[in-house]
Amino acid sequence: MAALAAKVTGNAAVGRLAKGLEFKDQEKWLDACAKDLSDHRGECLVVAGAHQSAQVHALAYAINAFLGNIGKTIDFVEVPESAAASLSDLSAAAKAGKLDTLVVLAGNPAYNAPADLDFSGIANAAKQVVRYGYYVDETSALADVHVSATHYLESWGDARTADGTVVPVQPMILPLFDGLTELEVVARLAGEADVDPYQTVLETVSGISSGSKSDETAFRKFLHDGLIENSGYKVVQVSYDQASVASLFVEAPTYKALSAENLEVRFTIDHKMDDGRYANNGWLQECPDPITKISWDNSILVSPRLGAALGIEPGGAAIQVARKELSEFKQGKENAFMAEVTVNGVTVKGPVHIQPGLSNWTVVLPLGYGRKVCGRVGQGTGFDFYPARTAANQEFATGASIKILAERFLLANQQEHWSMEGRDIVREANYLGEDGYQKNPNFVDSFGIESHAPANLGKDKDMPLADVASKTPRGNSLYETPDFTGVHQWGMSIDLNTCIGCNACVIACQAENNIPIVGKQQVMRGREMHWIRLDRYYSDGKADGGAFGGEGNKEIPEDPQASLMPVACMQCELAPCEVVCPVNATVHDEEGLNTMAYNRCIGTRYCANNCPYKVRRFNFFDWNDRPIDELYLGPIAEKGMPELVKMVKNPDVTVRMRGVMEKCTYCTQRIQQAKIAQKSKARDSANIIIPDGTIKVACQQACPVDAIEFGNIKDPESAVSKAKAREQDYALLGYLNVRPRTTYLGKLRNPNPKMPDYASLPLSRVEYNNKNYPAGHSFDQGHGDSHHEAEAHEDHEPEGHTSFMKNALRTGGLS
Amino acid sequence: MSQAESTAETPAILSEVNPAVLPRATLVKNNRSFSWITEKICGIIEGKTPGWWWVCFGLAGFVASWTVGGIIYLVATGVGVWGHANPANWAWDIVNFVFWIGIGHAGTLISAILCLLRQKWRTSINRAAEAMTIFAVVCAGIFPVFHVGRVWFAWYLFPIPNSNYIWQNFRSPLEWDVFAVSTYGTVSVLFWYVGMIPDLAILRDRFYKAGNKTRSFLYGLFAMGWRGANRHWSNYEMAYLVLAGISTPLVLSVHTIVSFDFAVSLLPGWHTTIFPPYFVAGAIFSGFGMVLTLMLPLRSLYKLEDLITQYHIDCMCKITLATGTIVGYAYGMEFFIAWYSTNPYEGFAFINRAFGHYAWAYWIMISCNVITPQFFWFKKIRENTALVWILSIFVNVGMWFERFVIIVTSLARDFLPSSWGYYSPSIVEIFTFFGTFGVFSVLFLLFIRFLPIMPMAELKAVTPEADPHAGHDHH
Repeated sequence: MAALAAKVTGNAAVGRLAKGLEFKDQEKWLDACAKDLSDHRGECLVVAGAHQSAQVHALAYAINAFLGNIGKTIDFVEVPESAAASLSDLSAAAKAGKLDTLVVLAGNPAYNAPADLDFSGIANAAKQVVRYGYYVDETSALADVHVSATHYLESWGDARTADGTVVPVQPMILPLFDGLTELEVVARLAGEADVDPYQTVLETVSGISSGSKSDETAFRKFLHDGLIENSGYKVVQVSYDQASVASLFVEAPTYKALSAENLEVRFTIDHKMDDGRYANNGWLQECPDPITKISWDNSILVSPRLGAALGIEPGGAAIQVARKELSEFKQGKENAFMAEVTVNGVTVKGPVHIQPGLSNWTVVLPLGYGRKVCGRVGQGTGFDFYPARTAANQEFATGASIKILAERFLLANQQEHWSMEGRDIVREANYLGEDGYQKNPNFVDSFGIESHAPANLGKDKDMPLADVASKTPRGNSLYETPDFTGVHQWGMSIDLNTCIGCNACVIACQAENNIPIVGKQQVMRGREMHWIRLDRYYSDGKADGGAFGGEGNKEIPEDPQASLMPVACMQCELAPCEVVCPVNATVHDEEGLNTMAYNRCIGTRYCANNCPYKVRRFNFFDWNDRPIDELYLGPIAEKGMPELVKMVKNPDVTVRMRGVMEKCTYCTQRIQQAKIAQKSKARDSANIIIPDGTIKVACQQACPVDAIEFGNIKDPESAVSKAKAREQDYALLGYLNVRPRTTYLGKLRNPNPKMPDYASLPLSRVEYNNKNYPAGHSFDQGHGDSHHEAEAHEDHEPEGHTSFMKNALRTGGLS
Repeated sequence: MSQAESTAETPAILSEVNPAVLPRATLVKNNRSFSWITEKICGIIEGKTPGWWWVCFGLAGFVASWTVGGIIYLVATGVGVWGHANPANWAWDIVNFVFWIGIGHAGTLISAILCLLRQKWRTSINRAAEAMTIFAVVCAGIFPVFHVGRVWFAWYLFPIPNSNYIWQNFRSPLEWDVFAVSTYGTVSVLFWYVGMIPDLAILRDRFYKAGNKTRSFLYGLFAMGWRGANRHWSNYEMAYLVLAGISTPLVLSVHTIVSFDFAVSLLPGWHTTIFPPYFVAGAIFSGFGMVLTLMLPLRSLYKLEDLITQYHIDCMCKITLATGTIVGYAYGMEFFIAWYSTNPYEGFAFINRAFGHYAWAYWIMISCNVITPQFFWFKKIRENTALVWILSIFVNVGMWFERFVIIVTSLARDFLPSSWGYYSPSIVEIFTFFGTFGVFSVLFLLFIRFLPIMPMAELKAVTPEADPHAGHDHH
């Protein structure tokens, strides 16, 4: 940051703070970056991560101020200052014997407070410890009294969003178990004798909205809207004060170069467990980590370079037919090495996972696992790295070392292979450049077998989407194709540009469709039940196109590009699964859905074999009816779903028994509800078409970036039809002519051509070309025979073939 | 006969042209008579049960219990007790099914096709081979029925009235399997049984003469009143021929249908048109391997060298060699077409088979299926019974691995690398499979104990005694 600040502001003094910074092509990178920023004053933004120090943040603001971004791309709001003391203050008070009664209202400090503050010592020092909490956890174990909390969905309350807007906390049901709501406890602590949470919230909201004591109208509006208008924090004008910033930099930072012996440790809260509070949540445990794809455990993340130095890279085969895995997979289970990381004088132990793209000498310790006092689900999951985290080093620490042990640990990794192997799965292009989107908006059409084979629809290839959806043209094929006669034809479009791979869709689908969890052992066997999955691919441009062996296949990518792709049942118009089911358990309905009749399914699993996308899930055991740790006991295991679990299930969706196949249904229950509602509204009129946007399927509803568009493709004005009309629309494995109703929008990248790590083509494209056009002839979009020419004359270098291939080769490998 | 003009000197052309007498292999050595054959075959049934039979039966029963236990556990607990998972939703279960069904094809080929082709050497082995077919179909049938998730609804596969008024899906190869395998089983049993009627009558009469009324009654029940009358014989021959005619297309069609389980899908490595002839050839190959595995020990134990001669073994070895070579050709052709097609998925599927995770299975398959039968070119090896027996076992091991390679490698690594996985069988799966050898052995041991292991009537027809021109040098 300092180096960049120096470049941008032209202030060399600042640059002197950037000691020990060394990366490849450093000067060039800084120059190009600074120039790019300077060229876009008032339109750019520099942000420092929340874990960074005050100095780094100050430098970031310095750059923003210099570039005139303040007030344009960045606003500052006034946040009420917190008068609370810190945990360190509490620790000091405890040591001084000043603690009488300790009331812990939230969080789990016995588990996740900085280790050097020794919360158990604090608790012991107090005369009485009262814990108010939803779960019995590590802190409850230290407490004298545990007051049961209600869930927030069983309570009245209010909250502020990140920007300060006041939002309500409203109960959905009466408390299932006896407990006290947060307001009831806090209000009493504040001195109120009689507490009615509803009243309290009403008065607070009335005060904020209209300044009165009790404003029922305002309160009802508040509950209806879900917020109080303009109650957020106010934007304030700020200006950059060079002098006070300079006062932060009195001491030059000491810096020791990072290496395998002097590692940097980064503590991260886990994407799913947060600070550990969700350890007992089965859905979150089973949800794979968005990047590592590991579920039920955390692992120590190391870079490929460190992995190689430590000797934990998997062996690989003599003839490597596909890219080497990130780890040894023993019969589908990731066989991780156990390691000990010593940082801040504390040693913690855990399994190691090689993470491509991680900075060479940084080790990531995800927090939130290894809970000791936890419910049945969270027991024995993961490893606790909190002991290594001190108050002074809460986000990162240096001076760490790692030692690999002989012990191994099996991890439940839901995706074994990380490379697209040069296949046209995620189709990407750069925005600019020779083969970029600007010059060639139809870039997705130059990929795959469909790009040089006759069109699937043959003579009907220019038929509008709405007609294709209902008529399913044969395209000169002899095979009979069904006519879809429904008034709606459902389709979905997933935008790979916006998808961030957060897995919200996975959990939403699980919630909506009664998808069971299967437990770590079964996930290791590959039997997770998620109907939608996020595929995560790395591309480093090195995939070897050679058929046999291939040196390029033996490397683990150090600096790859990642591509994410949500995959659920594509509801293919010519579904391969429907052909092969012997009992007609999966058939097509008139509106284009590939339906699954659970009661007809006998479980031959032929449909799953024939699905090219592998989106079908089989109920290998009675996940719902038997405890998932007693599955192999068969009939002698406990039978029946506990009452609480039954209440979790969506009553509109069947709960499947064992032996039955299931898959994404485009939330057919939601579609049916909307159709019924529309028909009721229509009465005798023929107005039974559901207006666009009425139905939101579960994954679409949860997606924070609106990457999923769903609706009626028979209506050319619907959002999904418009998405499918875009040039980047393509079908995954389209050449198979299964005609999936879910299509994707190709991904765009927009790298700065002046940057030294610029790749003129996305790396997945480079790999695709290596694999399919090994002779490196000039790339021709929408070509026909030139491809075959290249195949026939493999050692013939065409005259004047573009430098794209040379360029790709040069920039494809980075370090 | 043309008469040339006789001249004084030796004529350039012979006066009488007689073709050389080509020696035909004698199918029954040592000039055995009809009664010798009857005594030999019936003696096995009438005599005391040999000690080795009890030992084998006990062992077989114990092994068969693995399948029984495995299946009970499977149905009670769920398919999860096997090793299946995404992406390999079929594995040992279907491999075993195809393995056993394939073995059965040799019996039908020997009984039916060789009959229509008038290959008289089939007579000493066809009964046992046909029995092998039926028992193999029984073992095979266990798997498609029990591999389904809800066995108690397996009747949904059959077009019988159901309350949902849903028809079966006749576009599905699994549905075709239902008809193919049931037809195959039915016709095989019929053919085997009809062929046995005269022999059962012989046993009925012998037991009657020996005073054993119960056994005579039981055999008589199944002999259906056979009196050896001319009309009976003419009906028998006609029925036999008709059944042979019906069974012949089954040899080709049943395994073709089974291969359609794969060929009709769209998976790379499965979706090829070579599968029907390739599978049929492979089936006959593995079937003959199993026939050799069974018949060679039987021949020694029961001293049947005069009835199953070296010529018989030679013929069986040659058919094994021929079909094995076809299978080897098919491997090569598959690979060539995968390359020639330039389809990246197809090409990868084959490279992956040879060099990927399951390369070990692939090379076992190649050495057992391509290399092993080539030994049968050499007469010295064909005459070494022990060696032939060992090679026949390799044939079957190789054929099991062929199905494993086809099914599991194609599933484990298919279109989307994110779904790639590794399959390995569970203990339950392994024991269930090996138990089927026990089931097969139990049935086969019961067969050799209680039923005539060779068709006496047909055998007698090929002894020298039966030849009306016996004694003449030429025919």
